[in-house]
Amino acid sequence: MKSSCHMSRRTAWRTHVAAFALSLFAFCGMADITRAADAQARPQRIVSMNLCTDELLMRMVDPSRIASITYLSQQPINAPLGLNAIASGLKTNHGLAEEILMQEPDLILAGRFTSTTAVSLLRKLGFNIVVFDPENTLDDMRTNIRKLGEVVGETARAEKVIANFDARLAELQSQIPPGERPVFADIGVNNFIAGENTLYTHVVNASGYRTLGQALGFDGFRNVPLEEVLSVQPALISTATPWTSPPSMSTMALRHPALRAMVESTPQVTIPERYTTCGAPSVLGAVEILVAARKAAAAQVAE
Amino acid sequence: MKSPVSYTLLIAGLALLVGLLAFVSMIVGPSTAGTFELFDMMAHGKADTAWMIMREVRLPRTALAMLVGMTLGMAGAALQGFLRNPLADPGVIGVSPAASLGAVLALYTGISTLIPLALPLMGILGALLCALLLQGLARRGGVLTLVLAGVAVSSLCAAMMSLALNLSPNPYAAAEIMFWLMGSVTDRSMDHLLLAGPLMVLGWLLLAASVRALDALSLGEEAAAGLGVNLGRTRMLVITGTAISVGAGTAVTGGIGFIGLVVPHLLRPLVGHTPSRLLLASALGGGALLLAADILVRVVMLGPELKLGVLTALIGAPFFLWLIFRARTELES
Amino acid sequence: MKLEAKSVSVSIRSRELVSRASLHISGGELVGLIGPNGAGKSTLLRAILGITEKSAGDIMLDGKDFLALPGSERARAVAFLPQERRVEWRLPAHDIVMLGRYPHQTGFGGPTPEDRAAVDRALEAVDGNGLRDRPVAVLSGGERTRILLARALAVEAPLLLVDEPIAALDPYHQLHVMEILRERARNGCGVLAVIHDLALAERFMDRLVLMDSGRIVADAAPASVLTPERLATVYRIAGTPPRRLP
Repeated sequence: MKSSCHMSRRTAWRTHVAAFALSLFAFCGMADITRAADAQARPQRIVSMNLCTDELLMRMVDPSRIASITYLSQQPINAPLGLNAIASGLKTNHGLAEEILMQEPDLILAGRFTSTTAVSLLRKLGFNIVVFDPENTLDDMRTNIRKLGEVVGETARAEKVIANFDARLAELQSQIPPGERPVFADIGVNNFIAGENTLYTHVVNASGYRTLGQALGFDGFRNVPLEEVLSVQPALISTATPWTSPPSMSTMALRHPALRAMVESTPQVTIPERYTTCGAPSVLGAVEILVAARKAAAAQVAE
Repeated sequence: MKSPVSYTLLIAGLALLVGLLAFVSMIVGPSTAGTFELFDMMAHGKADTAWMIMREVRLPRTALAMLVGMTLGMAGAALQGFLRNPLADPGVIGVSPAASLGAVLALYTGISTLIPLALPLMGILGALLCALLLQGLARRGGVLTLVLAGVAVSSLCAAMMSLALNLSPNPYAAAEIMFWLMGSVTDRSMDHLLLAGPLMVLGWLLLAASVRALDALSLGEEAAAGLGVNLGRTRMLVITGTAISVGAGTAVTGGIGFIGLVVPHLLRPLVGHTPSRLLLASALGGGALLLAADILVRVVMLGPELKLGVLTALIGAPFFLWLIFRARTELES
Repeated sequence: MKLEAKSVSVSIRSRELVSRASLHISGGELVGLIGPNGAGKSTLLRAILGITEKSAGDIMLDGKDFLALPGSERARAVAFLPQERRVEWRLPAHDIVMLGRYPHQTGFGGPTPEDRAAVDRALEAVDGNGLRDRPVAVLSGGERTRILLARALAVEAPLLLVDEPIAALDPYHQLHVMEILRERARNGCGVLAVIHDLALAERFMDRLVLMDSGRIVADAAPASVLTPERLATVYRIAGTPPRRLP
């Protein structure tokens, strides 16, 4: 905190100089150029159009520099781990170009697949937009954090976020009992199972488990028929999803009689989907739950 | 049956309605931002941003809603006149699904992320290929062949789009395809307008050229031929006109239905059931209806954006059922 | 004006529906085209008008190739009333009759005074003035036929081809329609009508053309055509020559 006080005083000084220079240059009509250049280095009105960039932004940048985040981040079900207080105080957007234009951003963060029409319109109008690809591995996450740090002018803070994450991850991983990694079957939604090369699998692997998809040997996300799910005997399952009310076809699958026996005889956990949606520090929430389950299982065996 | 209003009065009234709705569309913003925040901005020295929003966001949106609505209304009227069936709409001959498929392929292959305009361009290509196919198939056959060919093309395109969703590499891409198909004019730019606009107008001109023949076709194909109507030329004008205009519109907005079905149905009694008069009236009616729907989409702000195609279906389908219910005896005669 | 079909043949998928048929129709005569079902009468009519493609033969209008003329010119010379009586859309009778002026209208202008006069004359001829504003869809069979006939008459073409004008009409309306056609012929029009009712054919027609299995087997005055032998071979009925009705 001390270093940030220093930083903020220096920042304030720089801002005053810049403001003075601006008022001089305003007569020469050079105001736009300098404002843009200054904004490039340290954007002051950042808009995030994507749930995942919302989280990274909130972790790395002072709330006063955030013009808006997506409305999703204010929903309890989608709130990033530990950032509720910050998220609730910010303005939101719905990914619409007009809203965002009214917020007069100097930097816009978007996901590869988010509101593509709005993004191309805003780009056409000359706004600085940085697009982030969805993360597939924890290294992708670190890359994106560094990239975000660079564009918002907080490279040091980005490294800090990564360092904190790595430290906490190592701490949790040290608690994983030795031995082969058992299978964790998250069959919460419509048997939509994660296989190799997905963020989900990397998170589960880092927590000391293998996913059902890895056990079945496929890549990416896939709907797995019930038979295949039952062919593997998992050590841990999760059938709960946050979306059970109102009920949907997907959650009906969980009530299948064939699954019931397996569900009744296997330890269960509930992992909020939000923890694994984004490649961001929130994944630590999932890691914590899984490591705890691993420890509990080991303790049971010991008994 | 004589119409209760004079034709000139009807057209003037509809044109006025379109103008009014276009004006409202320009001043209505997404309800979260506040409808009058734009004026607020202008009053407090942020006029540049406000005008940019008007020029680059609201103007293309309003213009596209109006032009696409006009296209759907006009094409619906032309097809109903040509196929001599009040249940025809641009979807029947497979043009809209073909345009949607072209766009979906652009999304699925990722071309649209590299070149944003690739999406509408591939949509237009899809519609034109469909038109070529229909022209080839329908040459020897009559109206029934055309409709069946359209159904076959629609089914094929729907299957291919489902396949794209099925094989989609990640859930985000699948969601993007799904949402595009629901239809929207949100955040379209002047580029979209400049691409689709001229093509829509070209399509209108082709449709307008067939107008008199549509009247003669009320008597059936043989009588019309006996009156000197060139059936082949009329079919070419209607199919190509529909394909170009509806194809260009769908390529930019995604799937918007029911306008081409409901508007001609509504206005037919007001133009004395004359197919030729129905074309212009339906064009204006369609433009007004889609503008109104797009205004509603912005005013009714549920969490995620309410898609235009969803709204037109939600309102159009029950309304259409009601129309059929009221006119059921008439339809049988 | 004389319309002539010379050795016209029509084949569809190597089946010959009409085989080297020749007939002619000139102004001032009412000619009947008769024959059993499936003889090819309607097909021949459609081939003459260019609606169905002919596989051989020529169609001449006053010595010129009829089908080579532009569509509107053909339509102004020969008016056609097909079998199809269905009218899509709830159009009023007057508007239907006005459609007959299509070959005379160009561009987007509305009906001219001449068009309106022609429509009035046509409605007068079929005694349809009382039906002017009624939607065709709600008219009875006889009324609808008369209005559609008026539509054909409104073209005011020198030649008129009619396919089964009296189908499904009661005797009163049958006679009425035949009288309208005869009146038309008397006024200089050439009328060719496909007809099934032999008694009416014999009574009203100046000449009969008899078709059987795609061929023209007779083309002469009714008395010569409707002989018992002909009726036996072509229609496969036993009949006495029709007596002249008053």
